[in-house]
This record gives sequence, C-alpha cells and structure tokens, in this order.
Amino acid sequence: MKIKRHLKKQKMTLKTPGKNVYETFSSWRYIFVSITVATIALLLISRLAYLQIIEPEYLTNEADKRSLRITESVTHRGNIEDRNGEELAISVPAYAIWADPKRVKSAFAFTEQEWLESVVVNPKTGKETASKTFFYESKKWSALAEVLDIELDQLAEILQKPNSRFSYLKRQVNQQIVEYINQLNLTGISEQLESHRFYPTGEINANILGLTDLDSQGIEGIEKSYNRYLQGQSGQKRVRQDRLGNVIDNIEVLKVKKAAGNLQLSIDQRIQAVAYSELKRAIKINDATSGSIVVLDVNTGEIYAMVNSPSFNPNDRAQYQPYKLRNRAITDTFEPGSTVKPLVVSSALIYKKTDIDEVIDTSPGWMRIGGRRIRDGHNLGKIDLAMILKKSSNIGVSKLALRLQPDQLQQTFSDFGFGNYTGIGLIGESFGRLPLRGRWSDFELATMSFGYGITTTTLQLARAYAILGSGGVQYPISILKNATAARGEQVIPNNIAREVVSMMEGVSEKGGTAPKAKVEGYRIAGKTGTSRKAVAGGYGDDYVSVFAGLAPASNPRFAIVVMINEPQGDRYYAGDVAAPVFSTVMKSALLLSHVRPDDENDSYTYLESN
Amino acid sequence: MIALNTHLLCLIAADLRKHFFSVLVGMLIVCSAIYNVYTTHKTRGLVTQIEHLLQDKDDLMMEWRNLLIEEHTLDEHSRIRRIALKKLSMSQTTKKNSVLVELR
Repeated sequence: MKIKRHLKKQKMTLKTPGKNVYETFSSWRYIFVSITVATIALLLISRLAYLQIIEPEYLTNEADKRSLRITESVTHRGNIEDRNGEELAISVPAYAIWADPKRVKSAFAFTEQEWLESVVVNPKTGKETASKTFFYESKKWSALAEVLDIELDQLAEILQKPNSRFSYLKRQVNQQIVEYINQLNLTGISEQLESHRFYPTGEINANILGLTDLDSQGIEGIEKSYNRYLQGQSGQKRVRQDRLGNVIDNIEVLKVKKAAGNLQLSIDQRIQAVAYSELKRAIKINDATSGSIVVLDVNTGEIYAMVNSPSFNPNDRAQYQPYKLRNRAITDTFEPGSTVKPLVVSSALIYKKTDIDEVIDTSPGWMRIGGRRIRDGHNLGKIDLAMILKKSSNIGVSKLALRLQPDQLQQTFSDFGFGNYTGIGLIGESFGRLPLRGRWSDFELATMSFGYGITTTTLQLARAYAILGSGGVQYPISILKNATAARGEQVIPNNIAREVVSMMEGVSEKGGTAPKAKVEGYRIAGKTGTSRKAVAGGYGDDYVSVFAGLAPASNPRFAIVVMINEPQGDRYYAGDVAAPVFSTVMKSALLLSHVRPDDENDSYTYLESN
Repeated sequence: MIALNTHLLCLIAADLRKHFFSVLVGMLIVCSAIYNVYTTHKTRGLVTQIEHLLQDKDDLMMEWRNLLIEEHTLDEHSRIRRIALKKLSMSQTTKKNSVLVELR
C-alpha cells in the first residue's frame, strides 16, 4: 500500500499537481492493461510484417487469382475490295459451339444405370435424390440438337466420348443462336468467338478470291496468296477486373494486336459482273465445258476483270468441288491457234523479213511443207499483211514464218511473254509451253506460226495483246490496284506494235473472221482463234474458241481475251462463239471507264464545253 | 470538471502547437493518401469506361460489317442489271440516244 500510495503521489505531482484526479487508480491494473494492449499490438504488427514482408506472395497470388484475367481482342481478317472500294470479301464474327464432355457427364446421366448410381440418400431426411439428370429426359438437349441441326443421338455420342475435354458441336454459328443456347444454360456447353468469311459477290469472283478454311486461313486463290497480309493478329492483355467483371487496370500486353490489312484489287466489279454473266451465257448457249475471260488495262498491266466458268458459290461450302475452284484463266493452258498470227507478223517485221506493204501470194489455197499439207479455207490469192490477219490465212503466216529462223520466232513469242510467268503472284499459275530447241522442221515452224505446238494461258495471251496495244511496252501484270504508275519495259518497237494493231482492225469488218466482235462507237482490233484440241495420238474433234482483241484501236485502252473451251454443235468458230462475248464485255468496259468513242463513221451528238 | 476539461484541451492545443511541423506533415500524408485513393478510383472508372467504349466500337464494327454484307448483296451488279432490264424496262444507251460531252 505504501508503494501504491507513493506512486499515486508521484503521479499526482507529475500530472496534475495539487489535485487528486485518479482516486481509484490501481497500478497493477494499469500494468496489466498496458502489457495486454502492447502484446496485442505487437502480435498484430508482427502478423502484418509477416504478411507484408516475409510471405507476401501467398496473398498476392490469392488476390490475383480472383482479379487477374487475360482478355483477348480478336482481329478479324481484312476485307478484300475492288478498285472502287466495293467489298468483295468481308469477315464477320461468328461463334463455335463446343462441349466439355467431362462436365456434361458430371451433371447428366446417359444410361439408367448411371442415373441409379448417382442417387444419393440424404442422411437427415432419408430421402433419395438423384444428383444427375437423365439426359433424354431434359428437353433442353433436344432443343440444342435442333438449333444446331444435329441428331440427338449423334449429340449424345459426342458427349459420351471417354476422356474428352473438348469437342466442337458446330462452327460458324451466328449471334442469335448463341443467345438462345446461353438461355438454355446447359452445363459444359460454351461458345468461342471466331470469324465467318462472307463473299457478297458469290460465284462471280469465287475463282480468283479463293476461300478460307474454318480457322480463317486462306486455302485458295488470293486468300491464300495474301494470307499473311490479310490475317492480322489478335491481341492479348492481362487485366485486373472488379467484382462486376469491369476492367479496372491494364497490367500488361501479352500479344500486340495487329490490325489486318485490307486488300484492294485492280478488279472493276462492274466489268467483272458483266464478263461473268456473258461468259456463263455463252457457255450455256454453246454447250461448252469451260471458259475464261481476262480484261487487262494495256497502259498499266492491271487486271480489270478475270472470270472463269464453271464457278461455285463460296458462301455455300456444300458446293465445294476442286474442279470448280480452279482459276482457269491462269492455270489452264491451251493452244492459242490463229490468235498468235499478229505476233508472227510482228516478228517478221522486227527481223525485217517483210514490210507493211508487201503482198504475198497465197494461191492456190494450200501448200506442201516437208511432205505435209497446210491449207486455207479457200483460195485467197494475192493479199497483203492486213488481209492475212483479216482472213486468217494459214499460208500467209506460214510463208512469213519460214523466212524467219526458228529462234527468231521463239524470241518474239518469248518477248510477248509466252512460256513465262506473268508476275501476277497468285498460286497455281502455269506458264504454258514454249518449246526451246535448236532443230525445227519447216512444218513445225509453220504450224507454230498459226498457234499449234505452243500453249498459253488466257492471261498470257491477254498480256501479249496488251503489249501490242501499249505500243510494245510490257507492264508487270497485277491484280492489286497500283498505287504508283507501273514502269514498263519496251519489248517490241513502238511503230511495229502500232502497225500490227491497225492491221488487226480488219477482223470485225465485212469479210473478216469476226464481224460479231464489233463494238458500237469504237474501232476494235482483234484476232480470232479456233484450234483443235490435242488428244492422245493427234488432234480430236473438240475445239477451243478464242477471241483476243484491243479497243479503241486508235489508242488502245483494254486488251480482252475470251476463251471458250469445247463448244459443241455446228457453230464452233471463234467468230460465232467468242467474238459476241468480246463485243459485249468490251463495250461495258469502255463505257464504264469513260473512254472516248473513236469511230468516225458512228456520229455522236457533240456537246462541247468551252 | 469543466475547468479541468478546458485545461486538457489547452494542453493538447499547446502540444499540437509545439509540434506544429510534424502535425502538418502528418496531415499532408493523410491528405495525400486519401487523394491517392481518390485518383486510383477515378483511374479505374476511366479504364472501365474506355473498355466499354472499345467494346462499343467493336460492336459497331460488327454491325457495320453485317450492314456491308447486306448492302453488297443488294447492290450486286448483275442483280441491278437484271432489275433494270426486266422490272424497270431500262436499256443500255446506244449512240443514237447518247450525247458526247467533252470535258477539258
């Protein structure tokens, strides 16, 4: 007590001298409280220090598990546009519906036995309840099967797969179906975002654009050739989310999102559409097996249209058949027949074996070379070079060809791009056949001058005519719209190319081989070609009808080649089969591109601005 | 007792005055801490907002792509040509009914 009192006194003197404030102060209680409080504080602080300094990872991990998520931002494949910015291929989001069979099996019983096994007895009430629902009893599954267009049994089979954790039920499903499935709220069924490629122009462009597979990888045509560019890359980010799933913090970028490139083609969809419908019609009328049309701008080398038939609807994969998929204009070769005659005339002019005014005697309409006969349709007599092309005289060009060395003619053909890639850069291009060898018989040389023994693709032939049309300049062929003007290479002397073009104008005139190739308001220059198709052991009864031409003849803008394979019936000549197609397509191309009419005989009403 | 209370308050006030700088720094720390909480909250709000806006943008893109498909299915050239020729009885101009305008 003494000590206590002493302490009390001391306190009193310290704190409030002269006044007795703490009458009931007990010192042991004070010490006890102090120690307790201090201990608790120490415990709390040490726990805090332990969590904060010594072992922080555990709680950090736990927090991250609950809030850190990886989000993916999907990049859709780039669009493909035509030269006027009209989309030809568009990717839209679609969904894949997939199942986790293990999770499904944990919630649903497929057999009665499984169902009985899942019965659990409640220990409190003694009631028996099944933890699984019987699969066939649930109406939701039949609803799912119906909406996904799968048989219920087939669905059950997929879901019963042992040890499987992932199985696609259906791909390329649209948003509405996904919402419906989400409402069914079935265990183990989830969706995954992917893209669906849609081609609004359908079969018109199917051969050149190609296709993508379900994983948005190009597998044919432009889609494959420019796959890398069109693809882009989906981005991945690590983010922190709050309770409601809102992103509250971007932690790090795991994969940089790369926007997909849009591809602009040189195709003019308006011309392309006309070309396709005309080709399809011509093939139907002539009962032909296939055909191609290529429209080239002679001054840039751009492809304005390239169509093939048969084609298919790329939006309906059930129609997928490899033979319909082929881009015949670049993959299929044929013997060009008489369409090479202007090239032979050019060759003779280049090597100065003739001049433009020369008159060649083709009578009596046939000639014998090396024991074999070649002949014209009928005796044409003495005719000049323009007439040779107008009448398509085999004897005329053979005589020119025989004056040339074989390698000279080959050199000219090769200058016109035969036997070489066009540089279009699409897969599956073939480069035709231009035999290179030293020894040629006269007969072989003669037949080569009217287009036998060599093969070209439709595109190669179009390029050869484009070279003629551009005054002997070869431009690199491109299916992409050129941002900068292409630089050409002079391969044929300018004056010779121009002279040959003016010689070819006779083809659509009266007495020419293709009056049906006429285009109203414009002068055209062109050449027909009807060649027999080679079969094993010789030439068969099938034909290839080709018309290659340029317009306007005074200053060519477009080179068009129409190739129709195996027309049946009596009218198989190119002048009847291919020339009318050429005329319609050329007319559309010229009118749509606002090319000035150059035919003085057709008078237009002029409205001159000052 | 009232006198005593006043006295204690006076003491506290005196103490606070004595350690004015420490008190000021302490208050600044508290203010800064609260401000930190406030900005973090605001940042999170903004991040959420930008995520929502990006999502909206994606949704609009999808809608735009779907509309593009619809547009191009409807304005497909062969379809227009067919409608023009058959339904509207239109025809391609010929040289007789066209006028050549030269632009210079």
